[in-house]
Amino acid sequence: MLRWIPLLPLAAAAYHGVMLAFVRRPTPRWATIAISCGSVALSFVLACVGFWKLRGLAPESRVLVDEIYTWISAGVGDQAFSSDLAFALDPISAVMALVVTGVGALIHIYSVGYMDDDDREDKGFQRFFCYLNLFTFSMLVLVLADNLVLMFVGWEGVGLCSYLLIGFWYSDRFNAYCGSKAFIVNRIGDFAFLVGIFLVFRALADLGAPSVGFADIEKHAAQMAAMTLPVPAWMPFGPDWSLVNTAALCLFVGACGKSAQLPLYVWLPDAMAGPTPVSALIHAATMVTAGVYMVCRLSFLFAVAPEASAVVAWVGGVTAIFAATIAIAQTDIKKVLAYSTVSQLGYMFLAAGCGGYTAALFHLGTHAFFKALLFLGAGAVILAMHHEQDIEKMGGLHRRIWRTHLVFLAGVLAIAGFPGFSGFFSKDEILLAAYTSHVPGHQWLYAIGVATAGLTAFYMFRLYFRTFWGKSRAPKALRDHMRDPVAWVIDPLWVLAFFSIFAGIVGLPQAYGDWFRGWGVEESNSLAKFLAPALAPGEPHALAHSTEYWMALGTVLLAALGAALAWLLYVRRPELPGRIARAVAAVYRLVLNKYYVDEVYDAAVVRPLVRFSDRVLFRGIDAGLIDGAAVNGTARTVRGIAANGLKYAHSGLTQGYIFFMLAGAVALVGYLVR
Amino acid sequence: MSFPDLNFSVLAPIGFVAVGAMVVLMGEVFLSRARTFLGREITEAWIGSMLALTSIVFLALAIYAAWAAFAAGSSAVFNPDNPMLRLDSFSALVSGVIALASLLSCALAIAYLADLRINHGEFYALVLLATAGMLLMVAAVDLLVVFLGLELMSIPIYVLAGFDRRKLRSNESALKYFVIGSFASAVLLYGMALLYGTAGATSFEAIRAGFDAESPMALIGLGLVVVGFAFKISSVPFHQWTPDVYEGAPSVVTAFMSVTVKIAAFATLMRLLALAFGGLGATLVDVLWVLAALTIFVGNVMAIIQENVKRLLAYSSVAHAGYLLIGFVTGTIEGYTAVLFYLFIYLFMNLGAFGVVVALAHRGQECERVESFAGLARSRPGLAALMTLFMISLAGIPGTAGFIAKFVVFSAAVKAGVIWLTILGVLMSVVSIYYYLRIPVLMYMKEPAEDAEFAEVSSGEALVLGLCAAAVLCFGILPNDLTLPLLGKLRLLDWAQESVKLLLGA
Repeated sequence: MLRWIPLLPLAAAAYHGVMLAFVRRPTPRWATIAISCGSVALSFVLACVGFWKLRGLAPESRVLVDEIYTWISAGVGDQAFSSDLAFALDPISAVMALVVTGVGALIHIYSVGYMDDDDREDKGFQRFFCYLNLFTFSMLVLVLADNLVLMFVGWEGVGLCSYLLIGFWYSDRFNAYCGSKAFIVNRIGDFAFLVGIFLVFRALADLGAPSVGFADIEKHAAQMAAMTLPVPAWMPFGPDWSLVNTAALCLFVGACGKSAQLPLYVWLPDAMAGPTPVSALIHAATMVTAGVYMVCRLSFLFAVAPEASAVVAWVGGVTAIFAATIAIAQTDIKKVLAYSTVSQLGYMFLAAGCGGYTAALFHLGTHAFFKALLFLGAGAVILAMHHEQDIEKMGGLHRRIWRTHLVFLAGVLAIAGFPGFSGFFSKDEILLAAYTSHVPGHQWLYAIGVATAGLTAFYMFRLYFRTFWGKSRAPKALRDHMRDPVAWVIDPLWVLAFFSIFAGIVGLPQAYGDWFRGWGVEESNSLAKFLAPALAPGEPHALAHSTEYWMALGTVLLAALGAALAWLLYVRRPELPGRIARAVAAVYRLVLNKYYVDEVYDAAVVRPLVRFSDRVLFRGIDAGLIDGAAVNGTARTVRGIAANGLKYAHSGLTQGYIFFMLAGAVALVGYLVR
Repeated sequence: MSFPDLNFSVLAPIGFVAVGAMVVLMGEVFLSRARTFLGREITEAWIGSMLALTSIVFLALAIYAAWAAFAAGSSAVFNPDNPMLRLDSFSALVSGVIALASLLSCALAIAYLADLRINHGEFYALVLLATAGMLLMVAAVDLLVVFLGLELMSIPIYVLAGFDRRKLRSNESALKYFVIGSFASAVLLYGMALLYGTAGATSFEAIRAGFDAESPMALIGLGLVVVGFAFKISSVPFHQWTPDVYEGAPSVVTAFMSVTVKIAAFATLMRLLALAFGGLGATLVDVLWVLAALTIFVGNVMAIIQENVKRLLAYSSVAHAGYLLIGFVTGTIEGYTAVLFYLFIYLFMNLGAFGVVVALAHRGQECERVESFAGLARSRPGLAALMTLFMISLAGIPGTAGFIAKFVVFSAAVKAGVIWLTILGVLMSVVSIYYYLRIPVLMYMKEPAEDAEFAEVSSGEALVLGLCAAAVLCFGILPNDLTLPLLGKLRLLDWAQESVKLLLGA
């Protein structure tokens, strides 16, 4: 049964592909919609069934496996490697599958309304749903894979779909450029990911279990911790590297690429060139969280690699605050949300690196809801504004599109960590994990987390106020015709808003769970308990409930301060931000231009590489040596032999032919007789 | 005097073809005199189609007879007292393949001949007679019958090469082929005579028993027989007639002879080497090695500078003869199996390639220059796609049958330790990609030179090309496991190996 969860969206994508490539006749729009949305919705139902079945099992045996066939079988003897095409549903993948299909189905429905006017000669509407279904399939393969190789297939599949969808409106060259950028930056991470897979395989092969299955990794993680990797003695930390740390770091670099962490985050803001539903589904809710999922999926490996985990935590923390500061100065509504995504993903890595895998996954889930909500809400705003994305040209929208405003506000409150909203609980868990962990400098990580929470509240409310309050800065013609989008667009938002508010209940920490006992909340921390068997045991919370309350209060106060500051600056005294920007012009420019990271990369990496490729690899080696000397040179030689030598032996005269035959016969017989 | 116990079933495949030739010949005589047939008026085109259909029916019967003999796995001689013809699984298999190639050529010819206004019924009679000669040749276990078959094959083909009487190049082609062919036949016959002189008999068995490797007479005889066959398979330096004849002959004749003659000559040579010359003496291996190397090199290199498609394909067929000779150099069961398998595949890809040239011919203006393929993908996308498929198969690119064929030959050679020849073969395959891919490049990446207007593809051509393309693709993926409805499992490699094992008595 499990296989049908990914296969249904694949079948839908295949249908669209055949229709687009081979049938080439306009297909009825209702069929496109029914097949696309229906397949994902059915997958969601199947995922629910699987989830229910899992809950029925004893906690330690909660895993369903669907082996389709042996995919790779290589080698002989005790080094024989085999990898199955098999899907496994365990607590982590069940949660992920629910998020992917659930949020995915809502976004599919939303897209029907959003892409409605995309009716150009390249059949944009159906093409869009083809890619979207293909993406859902790849993402589900990634999530449900029971080994690293199959996971990598899904990993590459989502990368491809991301590329296709970022450049969906390819007639604009810039979109195509953004797609390529995302693809190439991801390629860097993928390379490290592959190296990581090879290292894991090598370690397991040495332990007599040549495979890359997650179950084997879990079983042998403790033994792998003792293994070393010989490297040349002059390398730092040589001559023996800890194998798990190396492998875990390589895998984490892969995660950095996909989940847009420092230093590989640069593609995500540009990925906003794609249609907004794509930004919501791929670049906020699902694909970009794949890196977090991978780290949690390999929690047993990371748990025995403390140094690598510390790197994960610190990269996550630094990314979180770094991206949050950039988000403050952006004026493109989607760019703000993109940097916010980078920042929130940093949060998740911070938790995972500190051993709080449950917290990371919890935040992954709540973030999927509220960030999808925010993106889709932004999409609704963009639709209402006739594809204007600059918040400087918005303002005062709250009365004109009040439904959009309401759901957007729910998302803002959730991400800012308003008490009671989902984001509050998941963020709380992350800060708690950072506070109690043994990662070097964890107090600083905690401080960074709290500061980021304040910054998040500030920039989100800035966005909110600039968009929905104050005086309208839109042209009059536009202002008069503004209304909420159609039901296709707005209805999924209500569902997402509901979950953004209440999804926190599944992971209600003990400290708050006790308050609600008898109010329908039977147990606290139900998510943690559900996930526990599939994760490496995290660090125990040895904190009094009162400490927890104080910590939460501090965070909330800081966030409230951020929100209040935003109100002051953008509603109460709208002239102030300009003055501040002028006062600290240098800092403002630095932040506005995103710390010039793109420019630095361009100057330090891209341009030298392009120049090297062009001058040396292309003109020197490829065109000069390979094409010029090797290929054309031999071609000229061979042709020369024919044109200047052999040709003259072929006279076209019968007597000439007979002469050669005779000569040949004499030579042949002469050799035989000798 | 007792009447010998003759086994007429041995004659079945040859008989069907020969009788078919007679029927076609007589049918032509009567039909061309008649104005009406069964009450309806008849045209020349109708006569042509009818005669073609008749030939196809007889060839199909021959294929069926050969297939039945192969399936029965029997080995029977026509006259037990004096075995000259033997129908065993080897000759049955090869006969079936040759008859299939002739059948496809007949189907290809109908529209082509009508278009060129040379729609004379003799064409089919000559094709059938030549086919009968080939079947005789591959069933022979006696030098006399070999020669008889060879001449029965060659003389109709000399005529066929000049079938377009009004065209000068066709005439030149026929005359050149005839003169040089006669010379080669004389050499072959001389060699046979010398072998008879040493052994005192002409049967393969007697020659094997009486062959004296020390006697110059035997060695000269052996050498001359090899030269005679080297001519027929167009091995360098006995190949020079090939481009001229292939170019001058009507395209459909070229398609027919390039495939069938090669299969018949290679199969007969294989039988001679296996039965008459007792495996291979070390000296003969050296000779074949040199012939193979020269053939591969000259064929591929000369193909590069050709500007005429038929000449290009002629040199390509020379090159393929070289690859086939590698199989002979090994002298192993694998090598011989590879040769046989290669011949099957060669049938489909070469007939397909020439078939496209045939299908492009229009009102006597043959589409022969390589340049005339420019932009063909735009005007005739179907034919362009097929031509591309046949070209990449001839070049031996994976996914096509041509790759499997080359792979089987080369791997047999490596197993037998024939390393340097294999390296040369692989290197020259790379060279061949240049001239093979030149045609797809022109078709897909160049603008058409002028507004070329081409004829529609006839149903016969479409059928043949479709079949060849399907074979090239299917055998490229499943060379030994293709299961078809009615025909069952097509185990080409196993069949080839089975018959070769029988041939070598292993």
